[in-house]
Amino acid sequence: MRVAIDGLTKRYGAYRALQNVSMTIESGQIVAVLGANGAGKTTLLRCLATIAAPNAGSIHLDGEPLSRGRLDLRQRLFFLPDSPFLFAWPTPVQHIGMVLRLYGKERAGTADRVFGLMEALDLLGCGRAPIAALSRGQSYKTALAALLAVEPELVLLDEPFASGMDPQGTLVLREWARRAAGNGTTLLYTTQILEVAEAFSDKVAILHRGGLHAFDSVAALREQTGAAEGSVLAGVMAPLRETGR
Amino acid sequence: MTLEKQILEKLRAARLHDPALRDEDRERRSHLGHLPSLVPLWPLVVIARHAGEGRIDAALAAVGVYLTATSLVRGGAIRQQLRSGPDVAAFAALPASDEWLADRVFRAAAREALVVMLPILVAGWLALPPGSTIWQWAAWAAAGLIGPALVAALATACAVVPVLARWSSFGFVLHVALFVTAYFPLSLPDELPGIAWFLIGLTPGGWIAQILRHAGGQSDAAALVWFAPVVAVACALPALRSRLARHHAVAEIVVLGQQTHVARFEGEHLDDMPTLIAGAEPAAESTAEPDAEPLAADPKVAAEGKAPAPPVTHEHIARILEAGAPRDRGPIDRMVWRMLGEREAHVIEWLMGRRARFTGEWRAILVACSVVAVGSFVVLGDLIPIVAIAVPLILGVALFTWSGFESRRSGGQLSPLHAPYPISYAEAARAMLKVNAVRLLVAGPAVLIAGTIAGRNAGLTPLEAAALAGKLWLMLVAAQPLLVAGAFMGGASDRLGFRSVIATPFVIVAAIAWLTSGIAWLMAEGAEGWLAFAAFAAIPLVVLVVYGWLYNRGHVDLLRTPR
Repeated sequence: MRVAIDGLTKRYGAYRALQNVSMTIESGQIVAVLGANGAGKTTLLRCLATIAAPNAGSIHLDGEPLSRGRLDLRQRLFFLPDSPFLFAWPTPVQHIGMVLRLYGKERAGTADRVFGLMEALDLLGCGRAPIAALSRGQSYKTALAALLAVEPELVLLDEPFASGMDPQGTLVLREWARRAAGNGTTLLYTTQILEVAEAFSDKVAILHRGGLHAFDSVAALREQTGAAEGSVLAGVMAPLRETGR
Repeated sequence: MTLEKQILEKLRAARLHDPALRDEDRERRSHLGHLPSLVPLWPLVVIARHAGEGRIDAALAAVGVYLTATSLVRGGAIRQQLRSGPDVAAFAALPASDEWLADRVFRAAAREALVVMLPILVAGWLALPPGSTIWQWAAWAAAGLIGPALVAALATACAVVPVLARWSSFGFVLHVALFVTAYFPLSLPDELPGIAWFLIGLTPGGWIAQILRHAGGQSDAAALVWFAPVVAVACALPALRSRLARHHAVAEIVVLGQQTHVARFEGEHLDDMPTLIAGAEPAAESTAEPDAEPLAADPKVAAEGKAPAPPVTHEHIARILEAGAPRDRGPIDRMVWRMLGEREAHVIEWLMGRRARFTGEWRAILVACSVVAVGSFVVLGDLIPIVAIAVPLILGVALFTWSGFESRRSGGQLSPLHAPYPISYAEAARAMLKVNAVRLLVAGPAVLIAGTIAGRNAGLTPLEAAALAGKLWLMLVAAQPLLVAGAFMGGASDRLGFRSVIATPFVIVAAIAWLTSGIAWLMAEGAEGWLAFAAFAAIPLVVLVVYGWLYNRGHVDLLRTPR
């Protein structure tokens, strides 16, 4: 799915969380969104998920303007916040079933797929327990299993690598993301871990105090900064501490 | 200078030197302040009501009941704070002693107890006759000053003495009783009889009322006598404070799910805490679904020796995915699910979190209506207006609770549970209206019969009673679109900005028009009445449509700042 963001501005009261952000993400790209705390990363994902409504600017998905009223577009994207939105009492299997039905993806053969995902994410042992009884990592993996079962065209992940998931879960996510990106799925995720962003992204978007500071591939950023080795992103982000709005 | 003040000074200095930091600070702080709590005004309303009709005795008695009720409720709050409040988990991981935490909760409760000073002083002032002596004024002031200490001591006692702790929920009953006696006075006399004052004097809050009464009646000696128990209890405050700290020695924090926990105190066992655990965590107890089974890591499983759940199988997954929400929980459930389309059923499954138990709700309403009808033979009397309010309220608990609108915290803000999932306003509203239509339809006969019986016993003719019950019932039906829109409004924050200011007068006018048409519908008859009902029904529909328009076009955020 192609994502075109144009002049996106979002204010909470007087506070400018996003300011005139524009970028275009092509189908099948994996984009890491970086920035200090309060830079606007989560707000960007919320706008894309239609939870927060922009004050100005627009978002187009495959050329179609996105708004909360466009259920057809919203059924093609999946937003997974840092703390997943889950009910306490259903079991993981029931949660996944509810999500699949909301997305209209309860087709034949889904059970095989869900079983495979739960097995890969090591959720079979807790699949019958209420979600409230699960650990933080298990809860996140439950929400992730639902996402992977839905197979959305646009995936929005807020801090997936600081979610309490075990290495196995992280590996499953990364392998799925690469495979899905090959099939045209677009993935945006926020992170504070620069090494992950460098190794696991086609492009990096760096937000600074609501504005888009940089949006390019790691290789291009390396060229621009002239960094020969070490963390490119650390070099790009270091001067931001001194930059005003 | 405290550490906090030193840090604030340094932050202020940093802002002065950094314009960007100053701007960010100004932007983040530039929100409208929260409305101050109106709780302290509540007893004043009751006092004003009694005093306004010349019932000074009743106003003083109300203060006594209010103080007792507040003590009981605050005692329960202290226990809840120490058992499962947010501080328990937050400080469990920090090097803070249990005594310190207990003392922190105690100090907060003591500060909150200061609000009781206002109603004591107001009621006492009303009771004082013109030309009061210096001793009367001194008694009045002393009662106002010592009242908060009495409440703090009683609340602490309620928190540490198990027998008293069981009475904390009775405090809410007393608050309700205050409201009832203020607005439906049941022929209260201007001067309460001696037996009433005797009964009031049996409660600790009543001691303050006695002081004020005797001070106003120029019985200085009697006032002084009533000071004795008050001073004695207030003097016990330090001892109660240290007992609270000793009593709440935390043995462990029992974590029950992602955000739920309870503290297990020294000397307690998990087996002793099933009620607490059930109350704190709905998932693993009575509300758990039939398919939910205990987890090996669950402390209750270990404590109760249950066998952990076996791993899920392919067949289990296939069965759950195919089944959808449980639809065979009784005849009403089957009726609701049959009426919904496939997509609507999926939306309702989400908005109710699979917890729909329509038949169970219906049975609960039948029981409530039966209680109202039977009770009306015995005690109803002047209480017909309360019944008229209570029945829709009982129904409201069932009809207007949608789990999918509960808030979840993410990224520092609250969003409704449905927010990240693809559910449209129109389809959700349509499905909710359909579900509530069935709920109202099946509960209607019982409510109408109960309302008619209750009205008849309250002195209305059967026809009048049935008409009143029917009218109230239709009002509930007509209000449904507003309640559906309200469910969305509750989880959203409007971002119309300045336009809100322009819209506000229209909203106020609409609200007044709606209430007026409702009253007109109850009072008028014939064509005029139906015209009023049409207006009463039309306004919620307009609200539903207009809010939907705003919602779909992004004039609201599905975000709220936690308070």
